[in-house]
Amino acid sequence: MNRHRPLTALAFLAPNIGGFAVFTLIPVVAAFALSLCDWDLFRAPTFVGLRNFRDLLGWHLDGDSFAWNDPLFWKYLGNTLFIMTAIPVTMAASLFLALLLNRPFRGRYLFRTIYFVPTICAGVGLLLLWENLFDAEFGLINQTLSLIGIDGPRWLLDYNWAKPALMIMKVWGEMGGLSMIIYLAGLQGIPQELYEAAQIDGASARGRFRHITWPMLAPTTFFVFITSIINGFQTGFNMAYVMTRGGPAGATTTVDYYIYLHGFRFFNMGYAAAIAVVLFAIIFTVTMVNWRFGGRVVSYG
Amino acid sequence: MADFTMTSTARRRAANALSYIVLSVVGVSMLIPLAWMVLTSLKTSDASALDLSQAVPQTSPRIVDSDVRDWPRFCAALTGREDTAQNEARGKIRELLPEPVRAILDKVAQTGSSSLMDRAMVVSGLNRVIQHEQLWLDPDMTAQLSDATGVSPGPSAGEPDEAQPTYLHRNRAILDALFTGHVTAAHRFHVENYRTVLTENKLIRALLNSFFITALITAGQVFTSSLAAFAFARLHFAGRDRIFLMYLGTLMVPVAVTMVPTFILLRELGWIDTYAALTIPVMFSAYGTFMLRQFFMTLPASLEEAAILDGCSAFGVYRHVVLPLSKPALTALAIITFMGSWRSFMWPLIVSHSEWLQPLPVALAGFRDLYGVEWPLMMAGSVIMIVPMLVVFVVGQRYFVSGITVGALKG
Amino acid sequence: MSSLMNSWKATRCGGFSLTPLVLALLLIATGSCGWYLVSTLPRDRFAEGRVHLVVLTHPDLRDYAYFKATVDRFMREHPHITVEVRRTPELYRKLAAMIAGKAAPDLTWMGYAFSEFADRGAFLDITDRFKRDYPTHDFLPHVLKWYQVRKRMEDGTIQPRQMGVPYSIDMTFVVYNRRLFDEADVPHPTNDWTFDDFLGAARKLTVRDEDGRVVQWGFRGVVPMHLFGAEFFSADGQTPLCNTPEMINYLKTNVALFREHRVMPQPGRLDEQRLDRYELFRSGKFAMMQFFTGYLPHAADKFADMDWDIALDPKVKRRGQWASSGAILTTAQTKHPDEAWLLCREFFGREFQQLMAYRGLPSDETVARRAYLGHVGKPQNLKVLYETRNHLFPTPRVPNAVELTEICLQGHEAVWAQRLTPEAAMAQAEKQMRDTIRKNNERRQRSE
Repeated sequence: MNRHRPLTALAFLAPNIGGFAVFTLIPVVAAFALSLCDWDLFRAPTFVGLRNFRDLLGWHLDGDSFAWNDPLFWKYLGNTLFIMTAIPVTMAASLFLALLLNRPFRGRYLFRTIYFVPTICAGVGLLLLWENLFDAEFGLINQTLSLIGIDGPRWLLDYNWAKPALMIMKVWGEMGGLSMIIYLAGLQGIPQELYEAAQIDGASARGRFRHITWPMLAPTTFFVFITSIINGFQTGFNMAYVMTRGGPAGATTTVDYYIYLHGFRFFNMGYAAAIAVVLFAIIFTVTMVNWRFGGRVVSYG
Repeated sequence: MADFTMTSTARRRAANALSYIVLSVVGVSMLIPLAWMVLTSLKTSDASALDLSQAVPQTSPRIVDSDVRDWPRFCAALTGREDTAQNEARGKIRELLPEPVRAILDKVAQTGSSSLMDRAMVVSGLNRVIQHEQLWLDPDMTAQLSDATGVSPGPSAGEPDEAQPTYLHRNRAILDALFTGHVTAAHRFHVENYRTVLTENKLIRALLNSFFITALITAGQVFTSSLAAFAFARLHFAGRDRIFLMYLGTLMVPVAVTMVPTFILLRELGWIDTYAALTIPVMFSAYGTFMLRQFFMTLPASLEEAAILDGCSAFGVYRHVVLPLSKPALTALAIITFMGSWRSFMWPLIVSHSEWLQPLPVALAGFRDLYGVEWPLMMAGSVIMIVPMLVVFVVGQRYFVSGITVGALKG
Repeated sequence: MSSLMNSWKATRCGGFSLTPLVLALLLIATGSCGWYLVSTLPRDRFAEGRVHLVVLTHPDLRDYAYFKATVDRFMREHPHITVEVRRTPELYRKLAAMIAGKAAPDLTWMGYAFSEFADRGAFLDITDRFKRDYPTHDFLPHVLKWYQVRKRMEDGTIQPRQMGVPYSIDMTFVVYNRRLFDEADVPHPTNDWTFDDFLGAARKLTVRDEDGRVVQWGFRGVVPMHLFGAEFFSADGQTPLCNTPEMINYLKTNVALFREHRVMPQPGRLDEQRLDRYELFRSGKFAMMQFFTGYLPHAADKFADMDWDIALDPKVKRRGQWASSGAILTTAQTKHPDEAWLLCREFFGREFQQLMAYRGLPSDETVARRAYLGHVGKPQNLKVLYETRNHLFPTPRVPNAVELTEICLQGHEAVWAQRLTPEAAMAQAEKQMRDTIRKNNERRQRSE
């Protein structure tokens, strides 16, 4: 392939990169620039340098004790990370489902569709339905639990149970969703002959998975993982906005919701952009670590 | 002594059966929200949407707008302009309506047209009438009832309550009997919610808008991304990985902070409130490029090398080798892009004002006012929104063809 | 190797045969659809030489009918002006984006976020026009003050300037189920019922089954803080007042209501998104509920076959209702201030207020008296909202009010969820509010 001139590459990139530069890259650069400003959306932005970052990440001494400048940011970051621990669970469930539904059996198309239904139905109506299912007194979940004799927790009103409630909702809704079909697509790309050869050699099902499926899926897994991480850090807005308003007492506020609060409720757009930049840095670092660590999966071959 | 240990085949079969069972049980739970949405869309607005013990629609005694077939004729009938023996009974109903509603009845009967507000007021007035106990205690009224339907008037002493329909249902039955041919009788499954949703709120236009916008976005995203992804995956050029990292980086910035800068950019271009703003900026997201690049990298290099040795140009490799093998990935991307843009709400809301350009989610949000929700209508709209996504997914399954026929390599 | 290419071509033909057809069909469908859509876009809906005004409003269908009727009448009276009413969900976000992009509408609906927008110069100063056109008026004076912003004038003095006039006043109150009251033989709430009356009623109306689980609650919501004399912050928004004995008392009393007396479930926020309140009340699970004027139209519909009524909040230390308001205001970016003002006047005029009386107390005293004292039908007690018109406690309209109340409300939530004691929660909230006030003052100074 080295024989191909850079011109060829340009020809391939051309349809995409122009629009990308204008409509995707420029707003991102603008957002980065905004993080160095104060902007209330109504008047022109004023340049303030790194003040937003100092307010966000810095600390000060309160008397004798250490205090963050913005303790809420760290708390919400913790919330986001906590909710993100559901990601490996969802990925595993999606992979498991994809493996199951890739085998030729009757009704696998039906099952794939059925498991995809929650992703299709996702929206405000579904969130409100879940909110009512989780209702502490009259919701279906607690009523079912009381039939078995368990006194259900207060779910979305309980500080400790609000996040697990949302995570249950996420895992249930997403396990048959986009991750599953991406895994399915990835599985389709594995040549059948490898499996045939392995079977001739007498490999067990687990052996086939470990030595053929998993390595061949590595780029797909990388993609699913990275997009899950990216989405994970940016998630929680819909749930918080529709169901809990970030409550109770900030237990379900994620960084994404915090950005919305500062950007569109409190009109501190510059500060919101600064939070976005910090978020970007975190995600970027995590991605790079994965890139190096799983180096093989990213390069050619 | 018999050997009770299972053979590996039997064990495998048992594991299969078990996984099938678990799959089905969990699968049923996946369908519950959709079932709830469909059932709710068939109810009337006074029915309980969220009480799961009343999940299945019940016959509602209340009258709704769409129960009346022809409003001017109905108002004429109500005001006694029709020549029929039931006019006296109808007059009694009319008397029970409040004065402003009677004025509206006259107006509609004379002018032959009715506005949404007029109809809402008449419906509300009639529903108050249905609550009047004296209606069904009135022997003339109940005579109508038994003539038309054969239901006996009034409860007899000593009969258990459950055996009698509630008086609300009987009042509604009286109304139905008095205005047969003008009013659809009380029923359970209000399929006309779908008609209301489609016609009253210009949802047909919103559907077409959604289709057009989503088709453009999907085509643009899949087409341009696949070309760029090929370049990143298989071609070597200076700065390739660095540029790709830039693509990746743009995915990591939350959309809330890029929304306003993009809006300002589009305003400078003059694209606000045009189809261009709704489609073009969205096409160039880095998601598709990232996904396809990863997929292209899994394809065995040997095929491409063979094609090159055969004299294929880069574009030939792309067209003859990579694309055919990528059907599943392209389909997955198409499905994901379709769903993302079909459902996208915030972006069209911000960049377009006119209701002529509104896609479906924005139009559906109109059913939610500040303090309450028209559940049946909103669910009907949601079901209308969901059906195309289901269709796309089912059709796309065709292209998830198992494995690659690589038999050619052996030959 | 050409055999490889041949076999590739062979396999390719088999798999792709249908796809080009499908793609071609899609292309044709998209193309014709697009052609239809673009060609039917209304062009030149509005003739040249006319002034075109845009009104941005929320998507409520009932209100929209009234807006449209008012606008149609206005257009008949002023043929050289055309008006377009745009309904939009997520009104505040859209308005903010439009203002940021210098594409603001001429008029916009506004609710609780008034101070946020007004403080940043979003609205047109109508003080002089209002004085000129309304030398005498019947608007409730304290309600007019809610829409004033203190601005620095050219001569250096700071004066209150009128930014708009509300058409209706929203307030919270109590809705109760008369049937449940009668069945439990509890006297109905009166205009001067006290907290003890309220507690006694709630106690009698909370019913448990054999297992001790509650099947009917006495109350849902909170006993509001203004009744205890508690405030979020001072009237100028510079001093947090959340760490006061009154606020602690408010928190402790409500906690006792759901921990000790057990007459209500743990409170959440009374916010717009919980859309099941009507069902909960209708099913008889709650004998009393905290309610809002905005809910009245839905209540009239969904509670139609119930025996229900409304009552004012019980007196604790003070008597009165928390209030907000709705208004349609002219934006500062409008290109036609005079015509926009003409239209704006319609939206607080007497006819419009009469139309909108079904969902809030009109701000014009004459209209309010006529509509509410003469009201027939449910709720029978609607007149109490008129009678309480001079005992209203809105959240002060100060800069960054939303941010500050958010901090305090989070502190409240921490108390309801029993994460923190009232004292600890309010101490923390006070500190945060102080920091926020300081930061916002600095920001304000930097931008001036």
